[in-house]
Formats: sequence, structure tokens, C-alpha cells
Amino acid sequence: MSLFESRLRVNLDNLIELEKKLKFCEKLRIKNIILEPQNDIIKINNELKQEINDLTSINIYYRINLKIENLKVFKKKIQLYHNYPEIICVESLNPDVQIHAARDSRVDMISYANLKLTKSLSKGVLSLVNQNNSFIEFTLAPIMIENKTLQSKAIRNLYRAIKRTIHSKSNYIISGDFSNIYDLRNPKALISICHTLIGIPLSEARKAFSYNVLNLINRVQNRQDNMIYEKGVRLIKGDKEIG
Amino acid sequence: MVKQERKRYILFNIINETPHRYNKIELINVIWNSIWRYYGLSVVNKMGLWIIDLNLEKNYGIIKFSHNSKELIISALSLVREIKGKRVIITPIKTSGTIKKIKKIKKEILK
Repeated sequence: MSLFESRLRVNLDNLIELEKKLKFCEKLRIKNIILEPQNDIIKINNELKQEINDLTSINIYYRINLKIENLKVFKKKIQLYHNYPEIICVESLNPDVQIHAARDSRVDMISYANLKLTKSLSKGVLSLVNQNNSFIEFTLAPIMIENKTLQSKAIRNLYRAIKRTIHSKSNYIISGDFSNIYDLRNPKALISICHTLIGIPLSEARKAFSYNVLNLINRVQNRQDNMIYEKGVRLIKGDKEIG
Repeated sequence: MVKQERKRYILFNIINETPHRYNKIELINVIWNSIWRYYGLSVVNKMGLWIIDLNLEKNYGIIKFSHNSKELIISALSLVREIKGKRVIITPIKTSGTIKKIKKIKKEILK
């Protein structure tokens, strides 16, 4: 079972720092990582990807995070990402943006990465994500703090949000999203934390770190395949025309 | 007849932010504090936690505990953030049911 760290923010302009981070991840025995460029990159070059791949033995994937405040900006920005080869994720406090993002087939994932965002998770978004086969993302970064009050609040909020998501049968993933490398942990340890502190069943927690992430990556790869019409429908070459 | 409690062993690695010195007791206290903080008395008395081996120069250790509390121990170790104000990560490498096997794995890793 391959486990993923689904969100590691990196500066793609600074390859030395990136290499340091990746080496640290190797030390922690992380095998699959999804990198999120911090700079406003619209397309990641294949040469740059190859260069990054040569730095490490870890399997690397990419995602783009769109932090959007209002609907106008969302509609304008999302046009740039038509048929995009990486994971597209939207993060917004605005409920209208969340609903539109959940409805839009170009958006792969809606992120609830902090306390405020987690509180804004609505039934509508859950239902649309379920219909659209897209994903919801929760992060464990708010848990890794020293202040006990804030920590318990964060755990409580995550518990509520994840329980609602499991109940609605929507797809979701859990990522680390740690800004300090000394907060990074192996996904196996994060699964244990989710199980013991947040109360997610062990099988569900494992799914959120492996199976669901693989599904998300497959969704993005299938988008590039012209022969796939929609989920579960593939056009087959070589068949004779009927009628 | 009461079943005998099964044991588990975890081999863990310690990653320090800066090379600094702390002794065995300080590390054990940090682990116990983490368990107390997150899980409390009701869990602590069922754990049966023992440090079997600890090498602070090579940054690894082996602990023994009851098999029921495997996930709790892994998360408590992972939730340790600092020792004496310096950032550390205690990362579990391997869990096993026998001390023989965990020592074999330790040898392979430390080669």
C-alpha cells in the first residue's frame, strides 16, 4: 500500500531548498509526495519536473492551489486551467466559490486547510463533491501546535468535518500541509494520529492517505486521455461502426 | 482462563534539529508527557511501556508495549515536538511481535 504526503509547499525557483526538503522526506521514509508550488505558476515545465525527479527517489506529483476570494476571480482564473495535467485545488472562505468549485468538473479538489475553512464546510459542497466524484481535502497542520486550547479546538473541528464527510459518502483525502519541516511526519504516523486523536476508523484513515489519493491522481490522468468519455466509459479503438 | 497479554516492539529513529545532548531520562519523560497529554490515565495504565534499548549517539531506540496500544504509541511518539526547547522528530520505523526480529531489523538499518 503506497501512502502519500499530499501537500508539501515548495518554492520551485529555489532547487537547493527543495532538495533539502526532499532529502528530509527521504529520512522520514516518505515514498510519495504531492508538491504544491508556492509561486503563482500556471504550468510546470517537463524539464523542471525531470530535474526535480533526478534529485530524489521519492515519487513526485504536483498540484496547483487556487486561493480565491470571490466568484468573479474564480470564473476568470479557472479558464486558464482547462484540461490541466496536474491536480487543481480550490481554497476559499466564500461559500459561493466553494459551491461553484464543487460543481465545476475542472476542479479536482476543494481544500479545507485551516480552522476557519473547516468550519465553513457545507452540506451543499459535500453533495456536489459526491455527484462530481471530486475530492475534499483536510489537513493536519492545525493539530501540530503547542497551545493546548487551540489544539483541542482544531481536533474537534476536524472530527466534526470528517465525520460529516464520511456520513455523506464523499471522497476525501487527508494531508499534512506542514510549513516547518520539523512538523513533517511519516503518513503511517499521521494515520495513527487520525485514528487515535480524531477518531477516524483505521481503514478509513488508511484510505484517506492512500487509496483516495491514488483515485485523485487517476482522475487527473484520465482527464488527459481523450478516449475516456466519463467515469467508467471508455471509447474503444478498432471496433466497426454499427448500423 | 485469562489470556496472556501479547507484546509489541517498535524500533524508532530520532531526528534532531541541531546536534544537542539530552539524557535517557529526559527522552523518556518527553514520551511519557506526550502519552499523558493526549491520552491520559485510562490509557496509560494499559500500555505496559518499557524502553528496551536506547542509543542516543546513533539516534534510535526500541520500546516494548501491549499489542492493543500500538496506534496510541505510534501517535504519541509522533506527537513529540521538542526536547529541552529544541525541535526533534521521533519517527517509528518498524513494529514487530518479537524482540529477535526487531533487533535483526535494527542491525540491517544501522549497517
